[in-house]
Amino acid sequence: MQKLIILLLLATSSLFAQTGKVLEAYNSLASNDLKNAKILIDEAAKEPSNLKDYHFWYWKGFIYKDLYKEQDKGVNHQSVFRDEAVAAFTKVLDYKEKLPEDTLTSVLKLLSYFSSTYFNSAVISLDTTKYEIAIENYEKFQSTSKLVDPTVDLRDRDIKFKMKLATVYVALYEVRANQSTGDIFFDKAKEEYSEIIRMDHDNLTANYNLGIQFYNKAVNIIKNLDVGTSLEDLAEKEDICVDLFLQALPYVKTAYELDPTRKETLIGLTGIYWSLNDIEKFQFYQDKLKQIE
Amino acid sequence: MLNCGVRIMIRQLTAVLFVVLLTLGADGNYDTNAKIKAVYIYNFTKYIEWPKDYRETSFVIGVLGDTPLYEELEKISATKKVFEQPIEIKKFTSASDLNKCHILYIPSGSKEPFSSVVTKIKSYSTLIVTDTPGMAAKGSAINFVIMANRQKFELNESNAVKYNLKVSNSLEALAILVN
Repeated sequence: MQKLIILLLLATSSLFAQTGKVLEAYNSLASNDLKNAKILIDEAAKEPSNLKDYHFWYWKGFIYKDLYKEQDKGVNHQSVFRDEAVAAFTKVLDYKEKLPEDTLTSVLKLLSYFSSTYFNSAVISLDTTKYEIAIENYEKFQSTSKLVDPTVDLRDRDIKFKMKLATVYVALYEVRANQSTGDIFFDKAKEEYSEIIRMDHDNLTANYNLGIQFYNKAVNIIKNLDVGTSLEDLAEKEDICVDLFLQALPYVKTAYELDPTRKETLIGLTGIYWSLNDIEKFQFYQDKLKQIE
Repeated sequence: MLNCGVRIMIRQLTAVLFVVLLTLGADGNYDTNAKIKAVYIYNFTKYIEWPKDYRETSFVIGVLGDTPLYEELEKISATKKVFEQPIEIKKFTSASDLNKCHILYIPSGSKEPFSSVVTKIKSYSTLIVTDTPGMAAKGSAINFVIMANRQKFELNESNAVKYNLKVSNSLEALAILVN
């Protein structure tokens, strides 16, 4: 009933100046025959003059939005209906200068709704199996949000998303640590943490996590060293590990400067300095650790 | 203005544990140095020749006092052999307890006077491995040292020969030689 009222209201507005297939598509939509509405609006797309008319794009967006809500919402996070609807509403914005205010308001509201659904799809998909879908949705969330409000500040949400994405990469790396594919995820996690630090230099978690990622990689190499490793190979592995421990250091030290009383950071620093055979500094942070315990 | 669904999702995004966990051992950080030294010690067995009567029964690696290296050596003994000899790890609490072993590791900070160790083992063919600056010059055959954050080792061949041990030239090539 509510939908019918909305459609009737729209019918009286400037949006209803259509004839032919677009009108037929609207009529099908009004009579709740979404399947036919889709067929008709897709047929209308074959008419070149329609492609230059924002009314067509608006109704196409509306029909595809309903298809998304009816078939995909909450279950299909790669909904083509949603993408088509967003693309159609985006096209309406190309005519921004001549759009009546009520139409512009309606389109922006609908795009805002879709940006929320993209965000939700991104969060729901953000795990070790569907992270690529999550990235795709997050990028669509960003672009749709900027269509609605070009000045929108997404920095905090970008950081949170990247942080979670990085932990997903770390998890994927950890199960592949001894395989060649492990490094791909190690590098991806490193890139996400580095990006967060570029956006927010004083982000304690990103600094700590990136440092510990380097530290853990070195520890895993040593932990998994075959006892039969020759002394020549052992020296090579040591070089790699010392390099990783040294790479870990500035990030964990930054985390320490940001919060000198954080236990995990102090444990990390003692581990790094111990592994670097720097006993004096190991002792320094070990004492700090004892003080807070 | 965020809608309710988005606010819930943001909370969900924030609620997850974001901290990368440290790789820890049983008592805190995993002791990387102990593992590296254990690999070194096992490798030394490939470059040192013990007298014939030491090539039967178990190959004994002794450690004097408490050291995290003991656990790492125990792990090695469970899976490896020295040629055909099974490896046995013995822990000695003091120099007076020492007896025949192929390798004796004396950790840094050991309270036992080195002279007491020498007195006790001088009749055995034991490779003495220490972990204290200057010890290769003072009587041990091999002494672990740190150079540029890396584990290296000094070799004083005369302190091996003294115990009737033969050192391979290949080991000399990898060591920091001390006279």
